[in-house]
Amino acid sequence: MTADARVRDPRIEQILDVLLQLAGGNLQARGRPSDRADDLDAVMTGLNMLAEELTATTVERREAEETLRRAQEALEEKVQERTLALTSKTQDLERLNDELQQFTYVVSHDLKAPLRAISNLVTWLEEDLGERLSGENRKQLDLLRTRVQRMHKLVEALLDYSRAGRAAGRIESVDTGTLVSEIVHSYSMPSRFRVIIAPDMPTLATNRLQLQQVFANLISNAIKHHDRPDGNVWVSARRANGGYEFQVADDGPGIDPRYHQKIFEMFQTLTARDKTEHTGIGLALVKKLVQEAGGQITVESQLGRGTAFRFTWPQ
Amino acid sequence: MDQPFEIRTARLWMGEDGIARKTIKGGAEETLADARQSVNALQQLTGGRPAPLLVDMGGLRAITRDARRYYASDEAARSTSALALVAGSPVGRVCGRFLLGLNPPLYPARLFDETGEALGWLKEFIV
Repeated sequence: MTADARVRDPRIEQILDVLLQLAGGNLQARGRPSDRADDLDAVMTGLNMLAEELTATTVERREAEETLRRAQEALEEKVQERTLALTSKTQDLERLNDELQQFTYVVSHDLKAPLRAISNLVTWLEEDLGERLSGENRKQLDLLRTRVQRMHKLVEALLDYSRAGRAAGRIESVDTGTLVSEIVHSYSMPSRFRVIIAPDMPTLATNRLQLQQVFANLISNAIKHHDRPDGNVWVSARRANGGYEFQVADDGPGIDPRYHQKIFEMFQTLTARDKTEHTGIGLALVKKLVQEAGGQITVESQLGRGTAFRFTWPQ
Repeated sequence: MDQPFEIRTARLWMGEDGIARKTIKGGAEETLADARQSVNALQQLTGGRPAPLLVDMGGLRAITRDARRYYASDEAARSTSALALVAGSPVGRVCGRFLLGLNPPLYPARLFDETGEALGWLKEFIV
């Protein structure tokens, strides 16, 4: 090998220089191949093409990142807008709900006075007319008094409903076995009717009044709607999801599954009011109280096979 | 032989064997505009029907990324049924590898060292 042959080809220096620049982040660096189109030129051409690919993919990646960033910003903006709109809607709904409850309360409260007046008028009419009242007239006055009483109960129930969950109840330790027992003793029921309270009823920290209203409504429903004087009602409880699931079950006539949702709606009754005295608000009130407490209520029943109401109540 | 087309970087003509030819001029650096011209010329040569194409890459010194991507497009596929690249030089070989490796065309394509071998393969695609 001659001395001249050992002289390094300047294109090698150029290739090294382009490589160093590329490695240093200068993606625009390119070499200039000669006209020989030999192996060294092939290396230089390949290097240039690789650099071009690298530049293009880097630019494309940056553009894609920018597009993604803009899309993300637009999405966040949209989410924020929607959240604001939802918050505003929720506030509107809460305000409307409050107004409606207030309206219900005021109307119910104001209705009590004229009802009391009508009731008094009936009494005065009876007292004033005395023996002059015919049997038919007396029957009609009795009917009037019954209707007024029914309306009074309805107004009371409406008031209870509008108050449900609003009253800032005190949280206290409640022995649910004693609570249910007290409710049962406050009812006058047929002598052969039995309410069986499970021995392991829990004691929990909660709003006594609300829980009492729930049990009272469910137990009174079970007694009121039972078709036999020797009926049974069972009250029990079990641990569930950090709270308790209570059950009020009876061996009464049962409820057709078609009406399982309907019974929790306001003013929905499955029997004629003349047959059983009720307002159609009891179960709606129970559902509201349970939900206000953070629980859920369900019913399991078949015609002729009794009914079981189960509700969860957080600890 | 039909009238050949002369474009900035190459010469194209249709052979009597039904194979289109393209010979790249010495020292040519093919850009997107050249690629478009080339495809346009080929479409005129083939009458719009796809034909096998033999490309002599010997004179090629470089080909841009845009040009390579264009050769891999639907538009380019409309006039080519198969592509045989004859390297012709180390630079031609590198450019051929890039063309087939990073931007593979939508039709069958191979890189050859010998023109005869390339023509033999292309004959399979003559309709």
